[in-house]
Amino acid sequence: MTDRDTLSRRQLLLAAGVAGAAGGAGAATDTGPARAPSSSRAPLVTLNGRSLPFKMKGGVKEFHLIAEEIEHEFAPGTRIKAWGYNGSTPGPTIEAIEGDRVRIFVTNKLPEHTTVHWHGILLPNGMDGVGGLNQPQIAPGETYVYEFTLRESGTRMYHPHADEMVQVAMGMMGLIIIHPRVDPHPVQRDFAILLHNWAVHPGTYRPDPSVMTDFNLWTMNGKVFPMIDPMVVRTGQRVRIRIGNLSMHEHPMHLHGAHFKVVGTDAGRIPESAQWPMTTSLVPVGGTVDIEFTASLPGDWAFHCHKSHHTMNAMGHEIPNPLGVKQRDLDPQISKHLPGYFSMGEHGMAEHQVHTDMSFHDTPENTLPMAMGKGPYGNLEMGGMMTILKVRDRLQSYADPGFYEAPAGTRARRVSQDPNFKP
Amino acid sequence: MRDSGDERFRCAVSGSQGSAGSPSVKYLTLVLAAALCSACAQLPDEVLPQQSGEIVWRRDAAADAVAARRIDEALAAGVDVERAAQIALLASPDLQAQFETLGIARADYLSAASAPNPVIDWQRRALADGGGATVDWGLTTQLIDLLTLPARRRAAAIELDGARLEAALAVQHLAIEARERHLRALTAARIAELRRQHADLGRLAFEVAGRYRDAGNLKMLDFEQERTSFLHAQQTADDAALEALNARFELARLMGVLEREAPVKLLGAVPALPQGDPPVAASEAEALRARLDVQAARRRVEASVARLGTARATRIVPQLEGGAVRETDASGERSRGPALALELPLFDARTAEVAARHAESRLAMRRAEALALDVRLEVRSAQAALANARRRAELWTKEVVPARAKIVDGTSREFFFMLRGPFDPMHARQEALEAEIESVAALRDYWLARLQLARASGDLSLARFAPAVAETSK
Repeated sequence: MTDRDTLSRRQLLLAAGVAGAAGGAGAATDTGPARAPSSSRAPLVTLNGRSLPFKMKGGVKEFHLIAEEIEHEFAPGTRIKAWGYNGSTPGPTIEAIEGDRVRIFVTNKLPEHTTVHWHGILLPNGMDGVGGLNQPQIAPGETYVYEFTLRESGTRMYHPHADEMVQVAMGMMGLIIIHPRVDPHPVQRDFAILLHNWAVHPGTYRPDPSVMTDFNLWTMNGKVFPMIDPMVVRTGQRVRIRIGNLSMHEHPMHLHGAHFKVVGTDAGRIPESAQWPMTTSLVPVGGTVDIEFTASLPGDWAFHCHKSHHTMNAMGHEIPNPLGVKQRDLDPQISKHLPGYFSMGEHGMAEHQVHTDMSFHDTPENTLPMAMGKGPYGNLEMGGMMTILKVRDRLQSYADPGFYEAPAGTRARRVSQDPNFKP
Repeated sequence: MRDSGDERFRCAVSGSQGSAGSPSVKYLTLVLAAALCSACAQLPDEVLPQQSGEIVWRRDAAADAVAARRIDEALAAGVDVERAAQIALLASPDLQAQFETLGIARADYLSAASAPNPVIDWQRRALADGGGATVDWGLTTQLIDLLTLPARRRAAAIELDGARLEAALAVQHLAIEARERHLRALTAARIAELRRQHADLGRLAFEVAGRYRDAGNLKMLDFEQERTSFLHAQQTADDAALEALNARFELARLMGVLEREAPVKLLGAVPALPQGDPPVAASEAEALRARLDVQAARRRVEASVARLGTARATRIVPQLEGGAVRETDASGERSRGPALALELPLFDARTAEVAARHAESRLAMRRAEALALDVRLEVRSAQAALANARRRAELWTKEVVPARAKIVDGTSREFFFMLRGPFDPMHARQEALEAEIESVAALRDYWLARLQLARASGDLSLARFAPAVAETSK
C-alpha cells in the first residue's frame, strides 16, 4: 500500500484509532491473517515500497521471496543493474503479526548462491540463514524454505548471509515488520524506511561491491531525494517511523518540527523509562530504530541524515577545493580549448544546482546531480537521505499535499540588503 | 610543342601549363610526359624543351629570367603541394645539374656517333745534293671506324637513351620529393600549432593552479606539478616550432628558393586517409617494367653488349687505314694510288680490349640484376610500410582521436558535476591534443609511405593526395 492512496473512510477510521475492521498485513488482501490483528493498527507505509503478499496454508503465512537481478532507478535517468527481491531493492516488506507462524520460500535466481538471514528475529538456529554455519547456501536455481514462529513484535530486517559484502552492496535487503497483536502504543501513521549506501561510479551501471567507505549514493528505500515519498500526516496524529540501516555507515537521522523518542530497536520495544526526547537518533549499521512522536506542528519538516554529505548525491571527494579561488577571468581563455568551460565553487556550491537545473552543460553518463529538489522558495540543494514530513491540519488523502504555505507573519523575511545593516 | 625530328617521338611535355584538369592530374601529366620524352627524343632539347611550360632547362640568362618570373608568381600565390612540385622543377639547381649531365651524355653520343675524320698526309723530302724534293700527299681514314660506325652509333644512342631516362627519373623524384617536403612542412606546421595549443592549456592549468595556491587550496606538490607540466609543454612547443621552421627551410631548399628572404607561404592541409589504397600496379614485375632506372640499366646493358660486339668484330683487324696517296718526285713525275695500313695483331690481339668490354657488359648486367633485387626489396618494403602506416593512421584517426574526444567530453561533464577538479578536463584536452599530434604524424607517415611506394614501383598514381583532413581542434 502506498502513501499516495486516497484516504478511505476505513483508513480514516483506522487512523483515528476507532475502526474495528480486521486489516490484513500490508498488501496481502487475498488471504487473511493467521490470527486476528489489532483492530486499531494503522497501515504500514513503506516509502516508495510495498509489502509482500502471502497466502495462508494450514494456519501458516506463506511468503515467497525471489532473489534476482533487477533494474533499479534511483531517480529518473539513473539506473543500475542491482540485485534484489521480487523485482525491487529493497525487497518488499514482509509484514506479519506477533505469534504468526511464517513459511518463507526463497528462490535463488542469482548467478551465485545466497541465503537469507532474518536479522533480529529469534528463531531456531537452523533458520538463521548464515550460509555454511546454519545451512548450505542456496545454489542458483534452488529454492529453500524457512519456517519459524515470530515471537516478538518490532522492526526487523532480512538480507543475505552469503557473499554478504557483494550481495548487500548490490541491494539485497528488506524490512520485516512484526506488528504486536495488541498495540499498547498505537499510532495513526506508521512509516518504514530502510537506509542504504551505494557505490555507483559515475557512468557505470552496476554497484561496485569492493568500495568500503567512499559511497556516493545514499538512499531511503532505494531512492534519493526528491524522489523519496514524503511522510504525510495530520496535525495531532501519533507517528511512528521505523528506520533500518543496512548501509556501511551509521546515520544520525534528524527530524525537524517534532521531538521524538526512540521506542524500539531490532531487539524490541525500549522500556518507557529508558526513552528520552530527541531530535536526532543514530541508526547503527545493521540495526533498526523506531521513533514515535506526535505531529503537533503543521508544516513541511525535513527528515534527513545529519551527515551532510549523506544528503548529497555523487560528488568528487578528491577534487581541489574551489572555495575562495578567483578564477572566473580565466574562463574565456580556457573555453577556447574546452567549449562551455566555466569555473565553479568560488563562493560555495549552491550555484551547482542552478547550473545543473538549467542544463548549462551536458550531464555525465548515468549520474545524478550532486543536489536536487525544489521548494516553494527555491532550490533545496540536497539529495540522498532526505525526505519531508508534511503535517497538515486538514487532509483529504495521504497523497502529497504540496508545499506548506506559511501563514502570514510566520515565515522569515528579508528586512535589508545592506551588508552593514544594524538592527 | 617542338618536333624532335622524328614523328614517332613527339614530346607531350610542352604546353601543359594552364591546361584543364585537377592539380593531381596535371602533376601526373607533367611527370609522365617527362618520362615519355626521355624515352623517345633524339636531342636533349626535345627531351626537356626549354619552354615546356613546366620544366625548364635553364641554359642562359634569358631562361633564368623567365623561370625566375614564374617562380616569383608561384611563390606569391602561396605554395600548395602542386605548386611546390612546379617550383622545384623550375628552380631546383639539382635538377638543372642533372640536365647538364644530359648535355655531357649528348656530347658523348655525338662524339661516338661521328664518322672518323680523314687524315691528310703531306711529306716533302729534299735531295741531299739540292737537286729537288720529293712531295707526298696522302688522304686516308680509319676504315674500321667507318665500318663500325653504325654499330657504335647504335650503342651511343642506347647510352644517351639511358641518360635521358635518368634525367626523367630525376624529374620524377624531384616532383615526388617536393610533395614529400611540402607534406613534412605542412604536418610540422600543424603539429607546432597543436603543440602551441597544448602549451597554452598547460599555461592555463598552471595559472589556475596558482589561483588555487593563492587561495590556500592547493598544496605545493600539486602546484609544482602543474608548473613543471607547463614548462615541459612550453619547451616541447618551442621544439615543434623549430622543427616546423626547419621543415619549411628544407622545402625551400628542395625547391631551390632558399635564398629568398620572404618565407615560403604554405597552403593546404594534411591530406586525409583515403578509403583504400589504389590497386598497386606495382607488383614487382610491373615495377621492374615501369621504373625508369631499371629501363636505364637495361639500356646500359644493351649498350655494353653492343660495344662488346664491336670489339669482337674488330679483333682480327683492329685498325685498317685506307685512302689514296700521290707522290711527286724530284723530277716532277707524279704517281698516285691507293694506300692501306693494316695493324697486325701479333702482340696485341685486342684480347684485353675484348675482355674489358666483356667485363663491362657483365658489370652492366650484374648491376641491372642488383637493381632488380633492390626494386623487389623496395616494392615489398614499401608495400609493407604502407600497410603498417595505414593501420597506424586508422588507429589514431578512427580510434584514438575519437576516443580522446569522448574522454574530453566525459571529463568536462564530470567536472561540471563536480566529480572532477578543473585540471582534469584541461589535462584530458592535452591528452587529446597529443592524440591529434600522433594522428597528424600517422597521416604524414601514411602519405610518405605512399610516396615511397610510388618511387619504388614507378606507379605515379600513388602520389595523388586525398582531400585535406578536417582540423578537429579548430
